[in-house]
Amino acid sequence: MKKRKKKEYLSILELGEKASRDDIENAYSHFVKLYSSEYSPEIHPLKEEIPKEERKKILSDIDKAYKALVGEDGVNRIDFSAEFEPQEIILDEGEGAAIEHVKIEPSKEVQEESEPVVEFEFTDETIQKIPVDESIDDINEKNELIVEIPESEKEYNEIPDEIEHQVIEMDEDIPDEDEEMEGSIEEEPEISEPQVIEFEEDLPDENVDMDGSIEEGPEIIVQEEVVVDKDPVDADVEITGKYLKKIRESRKLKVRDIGEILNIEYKSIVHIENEKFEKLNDPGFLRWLIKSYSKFLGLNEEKSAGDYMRRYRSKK
Amino acid sequence: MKKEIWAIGGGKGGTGKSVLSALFATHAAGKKRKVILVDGDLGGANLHTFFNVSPDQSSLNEFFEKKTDLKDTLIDTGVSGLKLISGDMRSFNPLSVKYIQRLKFYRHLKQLNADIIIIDLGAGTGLNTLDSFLLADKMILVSTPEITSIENLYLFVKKVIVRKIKDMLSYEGFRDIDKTILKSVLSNQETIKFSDFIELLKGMGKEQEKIVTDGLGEIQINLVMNQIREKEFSKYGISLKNILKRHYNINALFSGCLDYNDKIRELVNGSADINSVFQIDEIRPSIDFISGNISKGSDVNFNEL
Repeated sequence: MKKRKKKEYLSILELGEKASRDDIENAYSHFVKLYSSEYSPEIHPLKEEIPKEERKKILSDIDKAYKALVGEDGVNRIDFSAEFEPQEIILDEGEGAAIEHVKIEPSKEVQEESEPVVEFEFTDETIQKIPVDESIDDINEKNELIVEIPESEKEYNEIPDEIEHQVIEMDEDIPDEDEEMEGSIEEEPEISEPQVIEFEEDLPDENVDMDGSIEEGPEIIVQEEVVVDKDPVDADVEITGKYLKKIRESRKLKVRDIGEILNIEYKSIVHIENEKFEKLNDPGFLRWLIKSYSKFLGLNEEKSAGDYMRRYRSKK
Repeated sequence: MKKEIWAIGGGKGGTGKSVLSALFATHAAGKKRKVILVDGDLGGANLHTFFNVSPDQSSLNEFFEKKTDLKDTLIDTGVSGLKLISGDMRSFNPLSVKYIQRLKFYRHLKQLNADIIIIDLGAGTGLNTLDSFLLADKMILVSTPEITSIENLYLFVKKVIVRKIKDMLSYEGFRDIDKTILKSVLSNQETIKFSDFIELLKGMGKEQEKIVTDGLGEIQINLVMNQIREKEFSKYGISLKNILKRHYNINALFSGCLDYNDKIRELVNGSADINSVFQIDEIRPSIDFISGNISKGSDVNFNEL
């Protein structure tokens, strides 16, 4: 077996070059068990990710690797000087002198063995005998898969519903503004290079219309009463992003101030004012935001939300 | 000595991230390294309970309000050589740290005089957590042998991968990833397999394929199994490592296990102090072993369990 092939076979069993016969045996039985059982805690969460056919293939790879490393009858004296197919190993104890012992150190007990620890071959039939859930092909009228679950395993299958709750972040009450804004995992700060930034360098400039420098921390004015001069507002004007900006400026407020007060990222305010709809992807949240913002500015919330969302929908 | 940042995450509460962070930190301090332990959550604190730290001492707020330097927020822990940066302990209005502030925090953190900085990311998979995780030199994930913990580990890994790839694609100008696909991949009801999703991204073009492959190659996770009650469960570390490599195409190393120990429960409850816990015969050698593996980038195998 060429060294590269051997390394490949060992890596299928998660073993390094110095693996002993015991390691190989342990690894083999471990991975056979792992991929045979759909209900192991390591595999069960990935039931759809690793379907039955794939597990079959993996099991056959594992078997092939094991046989190649250990031999058909379990004696690990393999001729490494020539390439061969694992099935064709012919081992003869008398050929010791001609055979290289490369890295696999047989333990004393192993050399007395004449049978491999695990004896079966992975034919289709064999895989049937390994407990793999076969009822997975049952489908009901609604096109839902019905899986027959043995009683002992039922608790695993009850868990997925709970998991959905448990996956909820613990810090959910501290709104992560960017997530809330778009309703999806996609968050796009204008500075889009978090992994590339060296901490010693300055941050690149933002290309967003903003008041004030990047380096500043927030001006925390939440504790103070913010007094807003409420100028009379024309009731017939259509509320657009531009209009919101105009009102904001007339109140002598900066975008960052609004962000602090409403506890959202100032960039969202910028997008709203510039009507950058492609950056505002959660209509439900956006509507709420327009209502809050306009209410704060002293405008009619319902009218503002209505006008703005109409424009949003027509453009999207 | 090269300064290193270790980030400890795992997605689910109760797996032992905080305990392990504190134990790793105590261990490193014992080896005469200058250690800073950080409550990665920033908006909330919990590490201080392990060290009998007075709640008056938190001053991260002042740092973000630009009233103090980061080095003035370092708190003594009672362990020589180990300082703590604690989250916000006082305010009823939780500290909400924005993306730019977090970058600033890390910039200043890296400039502090320390050999090793250990960040307890806390539970959750928010963007701040994912970004902090990806910024570390050593990315460490903790899981227990329970299926819920393992499932959360997979979800965390998926989110880390997606975050990393998206950032890299975005940086190179590729922004047209279908959001529906993204959302479905990350929820429990997947309409597309994660591996197919990765193939889809690669299929967007030759450049994209290279970016995705490079991105995946840059992620190396160090796995720690915690709260092991029976020896056979320690092998889950090897299974998980195999699965992460084979099905998520990232590098994974199994760093070792920590057995379940009643004393640790006492530590969490505040009725034992970190030094006494660390000296326990079963705990200290394990922490030494795991830390060593993480430092060296070593992998644990069957014969070492």
